[in-house]
Amino acid sequence: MRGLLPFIGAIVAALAFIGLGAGGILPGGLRLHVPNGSSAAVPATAETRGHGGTPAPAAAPLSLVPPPNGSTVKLATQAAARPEWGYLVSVQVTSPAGKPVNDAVVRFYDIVDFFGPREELIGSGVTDGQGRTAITYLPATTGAHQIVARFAGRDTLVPSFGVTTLDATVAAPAYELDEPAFELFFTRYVPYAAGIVVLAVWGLIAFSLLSTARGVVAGADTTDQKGETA
Amino acid sequence: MWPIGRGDRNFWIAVLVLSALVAAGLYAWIYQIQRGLWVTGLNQKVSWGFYIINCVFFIGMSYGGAMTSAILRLTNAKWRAPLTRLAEATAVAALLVGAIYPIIDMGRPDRFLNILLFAQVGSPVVWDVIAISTYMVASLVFLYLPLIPDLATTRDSLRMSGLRRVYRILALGWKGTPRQERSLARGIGIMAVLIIPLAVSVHSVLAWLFAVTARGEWHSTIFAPLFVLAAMLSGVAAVILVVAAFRKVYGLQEFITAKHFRYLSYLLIALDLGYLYFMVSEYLTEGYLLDEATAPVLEAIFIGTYAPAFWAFTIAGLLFPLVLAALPGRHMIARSCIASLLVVAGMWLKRFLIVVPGMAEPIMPWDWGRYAPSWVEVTITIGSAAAIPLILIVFFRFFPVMSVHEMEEVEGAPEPRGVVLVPSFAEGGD
Repeated sequence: MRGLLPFIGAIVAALAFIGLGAGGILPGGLRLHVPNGSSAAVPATAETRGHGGTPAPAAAPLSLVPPPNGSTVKLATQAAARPEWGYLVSVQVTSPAGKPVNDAVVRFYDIVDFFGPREELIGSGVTDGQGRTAITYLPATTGAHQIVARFAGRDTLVPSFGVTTLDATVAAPAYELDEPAFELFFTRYVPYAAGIVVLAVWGLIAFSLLSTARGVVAGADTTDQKGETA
Repeated sequence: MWPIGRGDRNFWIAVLVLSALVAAGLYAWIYQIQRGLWVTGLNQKVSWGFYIINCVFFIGMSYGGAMTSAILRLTNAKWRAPLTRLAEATAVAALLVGAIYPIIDMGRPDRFLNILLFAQVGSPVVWDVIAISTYMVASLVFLYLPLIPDLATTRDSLRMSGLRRVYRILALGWKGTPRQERSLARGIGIMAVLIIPLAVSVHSVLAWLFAVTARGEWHSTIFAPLFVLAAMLSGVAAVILVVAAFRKVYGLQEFITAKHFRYLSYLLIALDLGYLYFMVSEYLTEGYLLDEATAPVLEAIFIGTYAPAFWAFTIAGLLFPLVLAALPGRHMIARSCIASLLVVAGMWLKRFLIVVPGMAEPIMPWDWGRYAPSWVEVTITIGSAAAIPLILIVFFRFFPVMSVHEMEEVEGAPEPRGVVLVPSFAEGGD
């Protein structure tokens, strides 16, 4: 048993090293750039799912306060002409003086939870003479979506953005993988067959080591089967 | 067999110099962990560089050491006795170093466990982790089993109680009875048979990591055997260099003669020719087909950006060593060492030629990627390369450099009389 202590110590040391990820010499966590130009630490979330996935929780820690003296980016949402198109997300950009800003490029984002809340580009448009543009958006999931429209600024107009909440009751149908039978067989079963081979190899290694150790230990103090003495 | 064990100045100088290089490598790694992978030359287009090259290179070197020992044992080659321990220890040392590289390449070692916790069994990366860890355990067992009788010899010669206890535990009460001999021979036999397919599988999995991707230069059915042969070639070359170094430092000229180097050179020549054949076969078929994905990489390798490295590898790393090792005449040891050195350097270059151009080739309509290693990657590479001789000389301070037990069994081998069989601490220290 005492012989195992160094091994246990080594494992504990290795785990301690891995544990340094929480702080110390390893980077503390992801930092997300927010509109006011500073960085804010984004806490880890329990619900980390795939790309384009879940809408961010209502109390997302993103700071979404438009800059002072910026243009006004006014967002509105309504159901699109056909349910399968989703929603019409429209925006009007006006200057601080209240005049419409035409030919302004506006990008639309949905705040999703992908290793923390972040903006996913969902479309863009160029404003008309009334400072208006719109896109249709069919979210991946139903529920509340925070939609952000960003105007990058132009000439003397500083960048600005607007935020609205889209309460989606329709969403894109779930993606279903149409996997051919052979691919399914190959990707699903071959690795498991390889796993059985790996287990057999580990068994052989263990057998080789343990049977040798057993034979050597037992052979030290016993008379040999052929009558030869130790 | 323990001249370094006497603790002469050269031992400590070697340990200090190598430790300093390893410490520099560790510093560079910590620097990288603190600041992130941007301190390396890796980028969005070429995201595999020195680290993956070194991983393939060092694990390949390990494979050659294990294979050399296993084949010599299975064929019962009488001349193997002074070489097997060195080959097995080289295999373990190179493997320990090579296996660290995937962790370094991850950038966040604290996430290493995620590979196991969130394993996708269909991913070659997971196969790689399983194959390398299995091979590592097998290599350690393969090194340990033949050590048992020598551990007993050391145990019986030691006076210091603490170390004597360690050797006594490790020796498992070895007295050399026929039953013990039979058990040991069976265990070593199983491991010698097992280590060959294991080593083949490890390097095949490494090759599949490349070959199952949709990149033109990598997507080749010949990649796995090509990797295996490359590993054997670089491994045998590494064993020749290690054997030559320890022969010189330990004064083993009486046991390791020109004959051993000649036989190892034959092995080197055969593998070199085999690799040449596979390489020609690969480039010939790809060159005739010249499909859209492969043609730009072949052009870059043969006459483009990477041509100097490719022709340096082909001429200086493959053809010249072949001539050097095959020519009859004097200075066999020196010639085989130079040939091995060229092969080792050449095989590193070859890994570079596999990894970097394959990554740099755009698979979208973009420009070619560029890759230049930073000081961090170079320092880690030097540190890890220094770790192998450091591990070996420290290991052989505590364990016999040659298998005394096997030496006694080999017909015609010189009696190990007059040779110090126990480390210096047995005689009360340096």
